[in-house]
Amino acid sequence: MPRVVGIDLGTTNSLVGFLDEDGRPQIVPDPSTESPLLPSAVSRLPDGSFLVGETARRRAVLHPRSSILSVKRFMGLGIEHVDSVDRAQYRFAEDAGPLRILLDAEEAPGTTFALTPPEVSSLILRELKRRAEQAFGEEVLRAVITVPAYFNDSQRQATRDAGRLAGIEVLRLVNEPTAAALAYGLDKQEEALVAVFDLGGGTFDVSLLQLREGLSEVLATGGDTRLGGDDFDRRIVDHFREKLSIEGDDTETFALLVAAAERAKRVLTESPEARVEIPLSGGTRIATLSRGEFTSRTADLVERTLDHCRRALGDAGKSAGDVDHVILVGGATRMPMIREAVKKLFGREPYARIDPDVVVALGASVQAGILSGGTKDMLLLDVVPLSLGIETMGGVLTRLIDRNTTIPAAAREQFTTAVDNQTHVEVHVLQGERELAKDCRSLARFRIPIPRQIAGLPRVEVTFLIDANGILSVSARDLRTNAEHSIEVKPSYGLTDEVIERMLEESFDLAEEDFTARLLIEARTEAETLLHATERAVQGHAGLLDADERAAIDRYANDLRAACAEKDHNRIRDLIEVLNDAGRPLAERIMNASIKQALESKSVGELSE
Amino acid sequence: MAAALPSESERRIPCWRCRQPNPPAFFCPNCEAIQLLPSNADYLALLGFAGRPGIETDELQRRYYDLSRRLHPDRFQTGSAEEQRASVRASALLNDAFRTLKDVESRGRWWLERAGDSLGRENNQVPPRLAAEVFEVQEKLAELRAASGSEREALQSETRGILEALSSRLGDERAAVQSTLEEWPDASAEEEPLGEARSRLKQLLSEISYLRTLERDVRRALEES
Repeated sequence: MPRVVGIDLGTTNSLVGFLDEDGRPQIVPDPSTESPLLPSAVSRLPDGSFLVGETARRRAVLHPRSSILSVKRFMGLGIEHVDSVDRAQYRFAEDAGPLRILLDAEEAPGTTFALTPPEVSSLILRELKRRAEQAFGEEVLRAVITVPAYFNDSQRQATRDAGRLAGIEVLRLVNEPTAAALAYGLDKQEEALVAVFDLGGGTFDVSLLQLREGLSEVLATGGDTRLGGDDFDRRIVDHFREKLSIEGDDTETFALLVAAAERAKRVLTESPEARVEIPLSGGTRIATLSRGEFTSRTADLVERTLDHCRRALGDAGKSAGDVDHVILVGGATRMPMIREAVKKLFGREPYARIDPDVVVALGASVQAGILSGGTKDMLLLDVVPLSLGIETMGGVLTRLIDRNTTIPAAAREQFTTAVDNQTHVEVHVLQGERELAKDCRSLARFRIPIPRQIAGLPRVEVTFLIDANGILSVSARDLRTNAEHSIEVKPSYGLTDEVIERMLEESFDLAEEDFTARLLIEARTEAETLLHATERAVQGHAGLLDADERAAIDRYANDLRAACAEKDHNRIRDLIEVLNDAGRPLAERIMNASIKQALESKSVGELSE
Repeated sequence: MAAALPSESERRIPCWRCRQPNPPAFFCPNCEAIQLLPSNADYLALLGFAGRPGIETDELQRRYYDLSRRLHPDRFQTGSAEEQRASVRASALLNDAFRTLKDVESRGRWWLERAGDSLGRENNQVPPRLAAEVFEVQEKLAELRAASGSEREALQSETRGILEALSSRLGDERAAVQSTLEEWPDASAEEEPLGEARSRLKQLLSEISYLRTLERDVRRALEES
């Protein structure tokens, strides 16, 4: 049987893995860098093709308007769900229906190019698919993909659509926390209650799993699709802006501040204070951040994660003390205050033996093994994360399937007519926990065809079926004639089959189809970043260079530019090294000057208080 | 009304694969194909407890897990389209059966409906056995709402006592539901013991439902005080 891969399609990074012959999950690393992670970044090149991964992430710093990071945040959403923070970073088409992100079309200046989130994600999936195919030497057509347990139907549909657009049959969508428990092999335990605390780049999930004799049952899930490590970064960005009085809110400044925030956060996992350089256009600035400052700036975010944990415990009818194991997932759980808070809530040291960045992909690979028939002694029983219902009289939500119900799940509802000869009934399906339909997320609308009869006489039974992926399908039956009606469901934010077919036909090119071409693009992207930084440093700090140094830098920069026009990636790499070496003394002097300036401005600030 | 039960479980449905007519079961006893069952199939019969509502939850759970392993769509990944479709539907039915049966109250309600009876929609009438108690509690809550200072503190602690009494009362009533279901007369019994069991079950369930409302009111009054 052909291989099934396990994919963690993450907000910040994505990974692909498989179950090896010995039944052990393995990650397929990047063939050139050996990194298990593929940054979930996509950037559109002037020739209309796309870069994916690390090079795209780097290109995004200089070309933010033609790049997308964290596309997962937008999966299955409409324009009305986009907030001001997102608008500061991206531009969107303002029309209704599935969201479209606008990118600058650099080949035609002044024009834009629109992409739906599933299309962007499909580019990431194609890159992972290619990575796996290179490693196996055979085509990969089927996959298990993980989604946050909290994803609603639209978001799950969008993920499956992304798979389809990438030429991958998605055998199963698995909740990320469930996958994490599989990776730890906790399913083989006799009996245990496990809490999975997953703080990723853009989403937070908490799940409570009951494990028993190879069977993993999700008792409750909770979380927030809009809470993650990125929010912690943004708090650091706010902190830097305030401390250094940085006004500029252009995308480049923002990207530089975010990059500095990420570095500071990483330093703080090891040491009590972080000091980072921010190479802003007005000159490099030095910013500091202490653990104490970071903790107080983000206390409310941490508290929100704990609230979700308490709520999930309540839903499961358990208390924190009942939990036998706590698993940490997601790079953001490396933050010390998160570990402290989790430890305090559950009264036990959380597990972090497996790298929190790869644990979900390892679990997805185990599930891939299960589905390809390799493992028969395990089974996942997942739940539906949000209540599903229909809008009834007065805009009230009538719940048909409660949140945390084990899937597959079905509910039936009978419909009749209000007036004579009515030919159809409109049904609006929603997902959410609020009382009023307008406060819940619209999933789809459909019409039930009804034979012309006296009002109240027709009896049509509609069955709402949620499959093992958490995805809804609807069927209707006339109870008088027993005839099945086909129902065409119009998803509120999803792509219709027709649209997907069209997208498949128009499918975009991934850049760098062959390996050498890819190395060339990577080298050019890196060169471009370095040239830009160098130019800026030389202009901003001309006084720190003598004439000879300046001449050398200019010469090497010109050599590098010339090499970029050619196709020898090795030569570009060499010249990047040379230019880097030549620029190093300048970088050091800028650094020293900034520290001095930082100290001076600090003492001035203190005096004035 | 209860006489409808045996005929329901005796109803035969032809297997979609081998065409043999079978009583409702997840797998065809002849060809072992996973079956497409009607959504109103008897939950107890499907889990092998036909006619015995007083099930032990540990045993129910064991059977549920065992059937889950065999029915779940994960097991039919390489199966035919019919099998995959049947597996999703059978798993949904099994999950619904388990959810309904594992809690004694929802099992009691389901059993009552199965026996052709139901609690009815309006549950706001005070069950006679609770009348005196309910009156006392409501009075105490009114006092609590009006009180202030040290008087309020005394009433708060008294109300907390009421809350504890209510939850222990609920526990007793749930236990009574379980024993009523365990002692349920079998289908061949006379109409009289069956009728008695039904009205006892109905009384207990409506009391429980009322006690829950009362418990919620007391909790709210405490929070607001």
